[in-house]
Amino acid sequence: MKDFRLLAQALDLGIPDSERERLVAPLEALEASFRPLLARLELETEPAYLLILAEEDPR
Amino acid sequence: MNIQEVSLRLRRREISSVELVRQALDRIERDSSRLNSFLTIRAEAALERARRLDEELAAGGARSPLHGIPVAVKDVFCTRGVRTTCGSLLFADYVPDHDAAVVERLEAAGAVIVGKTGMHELAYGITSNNPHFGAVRNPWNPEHVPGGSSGGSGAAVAAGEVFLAMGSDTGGSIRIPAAWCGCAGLKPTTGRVSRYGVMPLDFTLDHMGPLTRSVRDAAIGLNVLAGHDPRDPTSSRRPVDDYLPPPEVSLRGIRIGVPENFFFERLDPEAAGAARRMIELAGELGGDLVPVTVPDIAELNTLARVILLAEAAAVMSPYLSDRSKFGPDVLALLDQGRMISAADYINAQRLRRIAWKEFAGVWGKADCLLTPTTPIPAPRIGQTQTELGGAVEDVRLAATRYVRAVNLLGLPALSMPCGFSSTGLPLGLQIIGKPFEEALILRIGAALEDATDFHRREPPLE
Repeated sequence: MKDFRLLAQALDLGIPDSERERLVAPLEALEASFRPLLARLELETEPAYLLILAEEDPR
Repeated sequence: MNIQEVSLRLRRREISSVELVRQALDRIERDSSRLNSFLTIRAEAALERARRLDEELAAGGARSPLHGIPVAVKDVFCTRGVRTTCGSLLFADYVPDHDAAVVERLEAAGAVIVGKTGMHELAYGITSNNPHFGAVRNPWNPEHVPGGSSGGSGAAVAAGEVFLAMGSDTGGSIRIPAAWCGCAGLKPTTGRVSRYGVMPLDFTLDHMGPLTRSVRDAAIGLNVLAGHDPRDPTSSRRPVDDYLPPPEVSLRGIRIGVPENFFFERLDPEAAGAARRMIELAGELGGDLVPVTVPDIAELNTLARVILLAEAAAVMSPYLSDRSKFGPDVLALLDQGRMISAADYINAQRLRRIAWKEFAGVWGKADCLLTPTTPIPAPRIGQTQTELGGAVEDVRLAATRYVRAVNLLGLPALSMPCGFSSTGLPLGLQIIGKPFEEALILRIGAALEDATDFHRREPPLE
């Protein structure tokens, strides 16, 4: 698990100490649900930055 | 009255656009201290435009069913020469030199934009409890939120101030206020309605659509709004349909997908019961009820949240040097977004491609999915947590649980009234369709609406 407290400090984002703490719990929860999904990726899987619904919208 | 009814009266000269606009302005004024649904009102410009449209109608004919009808747009849509704040101190004095495509289309159709509606700060939240411009309130009970981020649009339509109000939807921001205010709200397919001239929250997930008093009014709105726009890189060239359902609608032969997993888990029993009754009604109206197991929606919500956090932080990063310009909830989300790595963002977009392919399998079994729009009715202003199934949950995460993944998948979805809680708050049904099948989901919604009267009930305004 990433250490979001250290990460926030290291990135020097200008987040005051008092506000940094409240970021940790939601980011840890998101990380816990996101990280296992990466196992589903295959090497060739392309990102879908613009979702052009190709089958419905050929161009 | 709805748009169909008032449009007919306009064409018969039983009422004028000037009278309708005056009525709208009076109602907005009447409700302003109670609901705070508008940020900017264009009284003189709207009345002048209504006069011209009345003359045009007398001389020739109606441009569209929206000719002479008072409408509003969320303050996220750029309006030339009119302040556009995005509900933020950052843009409190921003006056665009151009109109959003949606504004252009509404005006070309003869609609009269009477003002700009209030919203959650930067469209980044579901309460519309705005720290800079005040909380927007729910017309059914002003101690409760109207939903968000298009909360002013939901409140303005539900209170009868305007017939249609435009919203934007990145993770439910049209459908949640529609559900909680008791009106119809349509999030179209990605690319169906242009995003040009809309202040962005997220490039992947933003969608534009109407909130209205009835499903058919939403269809009338989409008939005006849909179409290709080369200024929006995601805009589709696919031809538009006629979205207005016929007067008599049958559901015979339509496969109504009833989710067996996720959508009826961990929700208020009244919200579940209201949605279940509408599903039964769809069956009674001739629809084939088909049980469907959907892919893991919680996983899709996770991907959508990673993408939204990262993209919204990217959009706002030039402004974050002055933290005093942001409310605490939005600032916390922007700070979280800056902690998402580039690799995680890209991998979320890669997983999105897989998710879309997997979800396409649902459409082999069903033509639509019927779900509750939200697991809970509108929370109280300031409420941050709710208890569902014995567990305490963040209100924002609960409210977006059934709607957020639809944005990730780019699918069209309609929220429509399906009942009321025992405390008198509206409940919403969500109808999710295949890409570009807005006409079908509107047809299903119209059939259900014709068999119920939830959309005809009015909030108890003082």
